[in-house]
Amino acid sequence: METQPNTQRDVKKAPQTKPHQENLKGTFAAVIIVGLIILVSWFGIFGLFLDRA
Amino acid sequence: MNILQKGQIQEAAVDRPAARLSLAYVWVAYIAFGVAALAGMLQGMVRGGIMELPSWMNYYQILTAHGVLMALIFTTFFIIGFLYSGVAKTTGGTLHGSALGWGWSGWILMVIGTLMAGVMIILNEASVLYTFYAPLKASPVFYIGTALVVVGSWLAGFGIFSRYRKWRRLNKGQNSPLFLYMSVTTYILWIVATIPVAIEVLFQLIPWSLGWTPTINIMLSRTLFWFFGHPLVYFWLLPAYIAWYVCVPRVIGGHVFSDSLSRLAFICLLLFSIPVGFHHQLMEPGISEGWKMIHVILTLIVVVPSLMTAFSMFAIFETTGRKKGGVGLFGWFKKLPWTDVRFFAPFMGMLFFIPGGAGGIINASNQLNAVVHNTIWVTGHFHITVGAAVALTFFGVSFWLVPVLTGRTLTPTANRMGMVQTVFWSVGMFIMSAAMHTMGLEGGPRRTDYTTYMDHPLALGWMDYQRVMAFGGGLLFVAAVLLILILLYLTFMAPKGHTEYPIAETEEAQPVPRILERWTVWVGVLVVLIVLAYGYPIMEQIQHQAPGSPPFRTW
Amino acid sequence: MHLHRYEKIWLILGAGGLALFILLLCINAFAMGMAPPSNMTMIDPTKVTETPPFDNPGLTKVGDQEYDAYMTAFAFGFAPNKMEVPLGAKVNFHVTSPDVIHGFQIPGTNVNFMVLPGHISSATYTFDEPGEFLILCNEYCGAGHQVMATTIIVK
Repeated sequence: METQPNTQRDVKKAPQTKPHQENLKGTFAAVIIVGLIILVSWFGIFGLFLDRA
Repeated sequence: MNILQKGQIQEAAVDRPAARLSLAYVWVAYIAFGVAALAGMLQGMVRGGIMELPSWMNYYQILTAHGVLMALIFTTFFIIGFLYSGVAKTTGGTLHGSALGWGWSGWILMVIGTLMAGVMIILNEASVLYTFYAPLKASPVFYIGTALVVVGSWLAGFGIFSRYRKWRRLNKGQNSPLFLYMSVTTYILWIVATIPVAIEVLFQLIPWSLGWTPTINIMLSRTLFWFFGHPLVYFWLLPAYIAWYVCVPRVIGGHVFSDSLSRLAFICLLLFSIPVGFHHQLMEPGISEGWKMIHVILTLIVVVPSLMTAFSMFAIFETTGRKKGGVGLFGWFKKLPWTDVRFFAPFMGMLFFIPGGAGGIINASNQLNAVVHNTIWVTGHFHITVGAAVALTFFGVSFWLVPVLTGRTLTPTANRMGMVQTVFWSVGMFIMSAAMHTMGLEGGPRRTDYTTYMDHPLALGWMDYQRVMAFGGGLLFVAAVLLILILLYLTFMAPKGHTEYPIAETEEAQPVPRILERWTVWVGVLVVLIVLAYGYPIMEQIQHQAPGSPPFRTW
Repeated sequence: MHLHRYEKIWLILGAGGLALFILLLCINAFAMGMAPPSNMTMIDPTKVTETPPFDNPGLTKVGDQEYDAYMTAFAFGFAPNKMEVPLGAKVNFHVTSPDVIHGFQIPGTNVNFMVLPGHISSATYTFDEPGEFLILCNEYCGAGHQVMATTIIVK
């Protein structure tokens, strides 16, 4: 891929911040969405189970 | 970054002998994949009522072929090929003699075993599906063949352990490269997981199928099978996680998010994916409610490292996207390399893993399993997990791994074809699995030939879903053919040149707790967990066993 | 080992969610008696047809609106072949197999369990709606697996 050499240069120029200090607001929002998907589907099936009992 | 001290040479490709071994595994995997994809497409068409099979072939025979070849042969061969290549790459671009020796002996044994099992399936002597539940009795040759595949995979594992030991000897006091560490974890999981199924096959199924023992302990055989069956799915998943943790960050121009957390996630997956097999046996008699619940709780614990993985993946994407100028809450998302198939295919796999994981939590939730057990929901579930999350990641890996191994390049055209292939596979899988999940909730069974149950209105109502499944299956088959063509091109025809083997590093040296590399500790904890989860139930199943079952051939 | 603050929160929320699932499952299973079918009774699979009550499969009335259904699941059918119960009947199913493993499922209900040779599986269901309920085998049992079904008529 022609983008590879550029990528490597970007990496070297990148500011040396520690991962735990980085802005991860988007990550947090994304995992919360994942969590909600899990919750909603689980309670959906739990409801179906109770409904059929 | 101490790259040289870590035993790595930045630009060294995998050398010829290692590449040849790895490629041999990968190609057996894709040959099995091709045959299995054809069988899968036929199943979809038959069940959708679109076609009938010729008289010399039956539905359950091709179902067995599809399951064995996809779930056992494609996955295992690909995984070994991928791990060998990455282990070679991260330990200096080469493999020493004994690692190669183990690797080739394993390959030969596994190919012989695959052929034995395959011939028996073709002869209709083994239409027992890939779970081969006794007292359905296949030909002994089928069981011996599967045993050879497992033993062969162990030999291959010894090669990886041997490489690891040699690396540790030459790099005293250093943390092993992340890829190597994860490969070792994956292989420990595989060996521990396959011991019970090897016991089932060697001491129960083979003597019984040869007529040496008249009956078989059904409950014990099922417990041993599922002792293996659940970590099996983690054996598929962990190599995909390796690609996500180590290769994908490099592809997008980023870094490993956290070295020690990645290792910790793998250790958790190793510990908690094994003592959980009863969650596959929730709806059966002979296991008490309490023991089922214990396994359910352990199963839900193994969700935690996957939650960690979800966070790590988004964090890698966000940090990388932000460095490329992405702003706002989700601006980084647009900065990802959407036209690079090496990223796009595994990314689609990750997306599929979100509903896949949610479904898995539901399946394992004790009594909730009654809603979905043995319905086609389960088939939908493992098609979006192993068939999409894992498979798309393996395809994405193959697009760069095959050219690395053959010294060729992934051309822009091949990349574009890969994108098209990924779209076809994803759309086909989405359509098929959505229909399967819905039909499963209405009670439609899995593993069943075309039927209307004497025109029962409920079953007639399932026909529409089955036709949708057939359509999705058709798209998947197109994607499978396209994939094989791309891989043939990358193996034999693509222009010669250098292709990068993407291995990401941490942004700066990160301290890794030494305890993470003390295998005796982790294997010890694992053994304790297994004894706690399985010791008493298995003892009970042997001491108070039900009267045994003679063999049956019902096909 | 350093955890980002958001990752800590995420893992606490995630683990909390899983703990909530476990709690609800435990209450529902053990306090409300909705645990998955886990009958521990055994039987000799080679002698099913001569072991009462499976030698004569069928419905027995055991109380007002309550029935025991002793059934066998075999390749490729169920015995008895057809059953009829009045609306509102509570039926205790007890099923075993004289040959291979089968499944027993009534779609649209929570009745869904494995039938293993050597074991007796049990589940109870109250039929509060009229109709012809399909009972099907949902575990592969051989060449005729797809025709293995029966019905229970509720009226």
